[in-house]
Amino acid sequence: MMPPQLKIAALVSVGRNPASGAPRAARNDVLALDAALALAPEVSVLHAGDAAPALYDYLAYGAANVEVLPLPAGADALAPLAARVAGYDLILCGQRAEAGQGSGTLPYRLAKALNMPVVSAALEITLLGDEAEIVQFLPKGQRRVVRVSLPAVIALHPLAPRAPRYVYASLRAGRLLSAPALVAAPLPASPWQSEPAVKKPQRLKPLETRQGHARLLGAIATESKGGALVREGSAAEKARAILDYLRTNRLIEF
Amino acid sequence: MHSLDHLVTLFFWLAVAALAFGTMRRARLWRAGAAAPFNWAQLLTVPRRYLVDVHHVVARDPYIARTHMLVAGGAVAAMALVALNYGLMLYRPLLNGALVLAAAVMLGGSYLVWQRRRAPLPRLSAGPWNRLPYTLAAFAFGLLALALLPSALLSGFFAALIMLALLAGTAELVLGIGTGGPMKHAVAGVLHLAFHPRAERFAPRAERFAMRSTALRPLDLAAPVLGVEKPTDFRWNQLLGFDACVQCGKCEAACPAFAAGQPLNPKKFIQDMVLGLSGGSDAAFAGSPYPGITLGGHSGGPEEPILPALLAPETLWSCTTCRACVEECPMQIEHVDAIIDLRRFQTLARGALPGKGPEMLGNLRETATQGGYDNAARYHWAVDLNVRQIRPGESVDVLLVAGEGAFDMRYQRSLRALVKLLQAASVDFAILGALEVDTGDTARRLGDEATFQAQAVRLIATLSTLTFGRILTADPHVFHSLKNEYPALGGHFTVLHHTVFLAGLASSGQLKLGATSETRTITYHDPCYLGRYNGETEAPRALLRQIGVRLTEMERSGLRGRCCGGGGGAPLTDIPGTQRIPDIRIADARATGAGLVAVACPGCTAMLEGVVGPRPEVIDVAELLAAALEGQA
Amino acid sequence: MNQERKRLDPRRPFVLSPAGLRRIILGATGGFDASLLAAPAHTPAAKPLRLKGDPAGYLLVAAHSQRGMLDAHAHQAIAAAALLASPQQAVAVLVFGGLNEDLRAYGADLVAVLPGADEQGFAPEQELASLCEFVTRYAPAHVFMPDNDIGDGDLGRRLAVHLEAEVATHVVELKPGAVAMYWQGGAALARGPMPLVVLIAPDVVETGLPFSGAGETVAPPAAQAPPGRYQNRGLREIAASALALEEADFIVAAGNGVADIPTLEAVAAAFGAAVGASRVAVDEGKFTRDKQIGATGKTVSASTYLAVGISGAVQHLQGIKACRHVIAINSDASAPITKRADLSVVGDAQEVMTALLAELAQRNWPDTARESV
Repeated sequence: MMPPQLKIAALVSVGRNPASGAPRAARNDVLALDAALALAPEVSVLHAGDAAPALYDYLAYGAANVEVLPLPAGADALAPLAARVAGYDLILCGQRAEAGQGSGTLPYRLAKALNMPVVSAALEITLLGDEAEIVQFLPKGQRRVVRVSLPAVIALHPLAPRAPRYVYASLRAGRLLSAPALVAAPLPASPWQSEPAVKKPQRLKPLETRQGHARLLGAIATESKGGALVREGSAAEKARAILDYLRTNRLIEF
Repeated sequence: MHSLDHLVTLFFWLAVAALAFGTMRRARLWRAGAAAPFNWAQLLTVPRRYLVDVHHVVARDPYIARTHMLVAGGAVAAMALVALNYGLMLYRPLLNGALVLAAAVMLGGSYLVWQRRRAPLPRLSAGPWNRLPYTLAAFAFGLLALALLPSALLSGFFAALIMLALLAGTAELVLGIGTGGPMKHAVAGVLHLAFHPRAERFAPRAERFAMRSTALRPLDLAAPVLGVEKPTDFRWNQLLGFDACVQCGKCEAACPAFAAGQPLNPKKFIQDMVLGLSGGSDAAFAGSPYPGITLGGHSGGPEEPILPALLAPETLWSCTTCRACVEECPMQIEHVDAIIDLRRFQTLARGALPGKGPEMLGNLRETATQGGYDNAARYHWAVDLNVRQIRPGESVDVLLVAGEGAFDMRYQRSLRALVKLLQAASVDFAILGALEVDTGDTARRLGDEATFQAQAVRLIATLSTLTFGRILTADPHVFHSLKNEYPALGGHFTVLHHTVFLAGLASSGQLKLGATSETRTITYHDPCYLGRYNGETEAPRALLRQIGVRLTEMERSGLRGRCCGGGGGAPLTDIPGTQRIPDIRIADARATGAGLVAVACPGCTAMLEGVVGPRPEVIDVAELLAAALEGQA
Repeated sequence: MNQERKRLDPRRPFVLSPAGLRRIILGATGGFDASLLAAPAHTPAAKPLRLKGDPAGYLLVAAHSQRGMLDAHAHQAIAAAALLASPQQAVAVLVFGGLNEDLRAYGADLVAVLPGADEQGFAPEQELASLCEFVTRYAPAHVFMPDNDIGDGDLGRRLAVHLEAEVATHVVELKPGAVAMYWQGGAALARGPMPLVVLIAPDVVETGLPFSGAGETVAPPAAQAPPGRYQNRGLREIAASALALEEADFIVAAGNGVADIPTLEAVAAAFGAAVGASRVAVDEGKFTRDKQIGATGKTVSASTYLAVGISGAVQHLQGIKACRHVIAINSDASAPITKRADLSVVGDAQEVMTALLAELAQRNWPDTARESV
């Protein structure tokens, strides 16, 4: 069993509802918080940034309080977070943020700064003394079991089988705590230009070499795709039609 | 031989003492509940409430109405006469003559009770209730013999026999309240009528029609306990109400969840709440269990959490809040209020909401829609209809509020039909557009009062910036919450359901309707939140008559209509049963031979259309009317 | 072999025209010249080599293989590198895990294989050391990797953080020198110059290329990392039938048109698919409630959804909105599901399922057989 002095932190961010854009607790971070609370009754729940109202959601999901590490606009959250969680045994977070860049690199950067191992795509976490055993997500029903020595950074996969409960009474009882400001390095000037995502991104494809008529034929052929109806023929022919469709679209490997 | 008379006097006062003692004992259990307003003067309302309101419900079953009139009337008269003649030691033969009459009436009634219980309906409880005809008859017989036969003529043996019969009958009548026997209902029932949690239910008829007292009470979100965790968290008059139950099972027979084999039985639920307040196991319950849950596995006490020891969560989440049980209950018990109180604690203090409930609540908080849609898309169905959108500063007569159905492609057809009708009648109307947020009604039924109040405050704030005469909606759930539940939160609006509004337009001639071309047999399904919750059963029928439809009514219709299964968030919690509620309702419709079911609610439309296999077509009243508009091809 | 008989040598020396046609070099005899051969001998139409002359620079691709194959996502990463490379830049591919396929069609010029490091293994420190050595060896302008859950997304981030290099993740648009990716959970599209590490989202590159890579095998990196802080305790496989439907990539779902559940389950097992059901089938007690797909059940996002005997009530269609390929087997050609399906087979569900099983038994050869092909 876990020694009582184990210090566990859950890093939480402000997420974003995909339909409305409304700020909310990031679903992936909620899973991390829930996993942390299952490991220890006391968890330091940390957020680098403003004391946004969406953080109250984490109180509803079971955080006794959320400690807000103030972060000047345009500053890098890494340094204050690394300073705050230094000395912790386990740092949990979601694999990918819902708002902001969502590159999913923070756990790796934090692990490097703290010289800890980092495991992502975690579904389940078990503590075994000074090690953590992690069941990792792999696609198509595969799971991998990995052990790391503590202290470690673990990023939860969005499909982690947890059922966090939103409890209003717990929201009512919790508090947002303001931590003293820590030194944060400014982020380097961003080369990125962001725009509202209205246009579909263009696929990278070879330059068109076909001539006009062939291109036209190609365009017609792709538009009439889908909705095929197989009515006639024997059952075997129908089965073959299904297999042909699956093969043509590379949905099966045989 | 005066000694027998004196013995009866002594016996009478002993019985009075036992009754008083028992009542006080029981009252102690009720008083453990939370505070509620109390005024002794309320007792004066009992005769009227009993003779008018209770009778109104009981009279639906003339046999039991007559039976109860004879038994209870005879018993009350007899006891009053015993009190007068023996209690006050008058011993007048004339009064004894009257006593003979009263006892005979009661004896006749007891015979009817006996008849009823020879082949009892499955909804009735057995157990101690089966002895009732005998103990009541013994009481009546004892009084009859006492009053009829001069005591001088009685042999000692016969006198002892009479006294024994009287003793048995009296024990049933006066010890019931203290021991929780069947006759508990008499005392608790009287007190329950006096101190009923919804006094508005007994308002004079006209007022009652305008406001059927179906709104839920707002919950103080700062209260130490949110909702009800243990029996003593109920208000004391709710506990008293549970004790009034006579286990007649009318609620059980009306409950759609019970019929569908979901683990809910309103009668058992009330009896479980009684167990909770008095303590004990449900092994002795003598009625139908919750479908799929065997008896004896649940027990509780006044300070024990009700879930899951006393009540399985599946039972709590099976309820569709259709109020069929409340409508049927002769004792005017408020089952749905108790369900919601329990749900409030489970949702707000435990977050223990099953199925897709939590997802829907999250959607509401984040998108102001139940389905997690982009709220700006709520009125996309109206873009090509040339409909005005309301703006602050511009006044309009009728404001159309679409509700969640606006995101459902099926119900958009109904909404478009409604717009067509409004335009045909030259109504000055506008839509709420992207300003609209969900009313929070479903959140409230699922116990999430916090989300409901947040939505309500938001919607009220929006509406208060706008200038309009009336709100019109095609969704009875929107209608109910805006009309009946928003006032308590400061939102006072005139709200109309589309059937009521259109009926008004049609009768004034503003809306010119022709005859329908529909030749199929048509039946009408009453939405619970329009019919039972708001008493509106006539307007849709009047409209259908106007276009020449001759309705074939289903067995359960009007105020006693059967739920489609879509209320109370039940499609979200989705508790499995042996069949689905909408399948039962469609079977009701099929039984009438109907080829078309007219509806007036997006929830009912979705539920009934979700029935697979051949079934009558489901069409909103507005669509039928739009197709029958005068002067169209 | 019979060398006596005079016949045409199908491998006569040839060159490829810009249109991809073979031009036989007249008069020349003897075996084929590897330097002239652009495509594998057995491909019907050989394609021209993309790379002209000796490489003057490199683009790197790294990906994990599974059972000796790279998946479509990894192929796309290679094709992206090939499409973006200048005629003088070579595409060097580092494959973690064994490789039994030809990557030339996707434009790989140099291929290094680390057979021991497939998805079975988890040794991030060792893999990072190998990748770093490869990066040092070729000094690539960019490193492309598929941003996936089988190890490449993880390794790519480790690489970027280790090198303290710029990284673009979940890249959805690639152009010469520039990439775009979603921010704000998909609400914003951010464009910027192409960084060193480019982690590509699935299906943003076409792999049908008009040219071919050189496909030369090179030595894998030999770097050894010190024993690490990670211990791999092995894989666990969840039976497809037990797989959570939300996670399944192939779902075979039954409606009330299916009476024979074992056959349906056999079809699902043959495809390695998870089993789902419509509301009606669940209500009839044929399936447990967690198998229910639809508005009140689960919302699924499988690539392939085979609906057997499902008429397709609105509530059900809501649950399969995100499925890419829907195939329906239904006795009623007018059922709503046929409007949603990409392929609808009208017929008796039982007969078609039995025929499917027979076809699969004929053609489904085991994995080991495929590796020897």
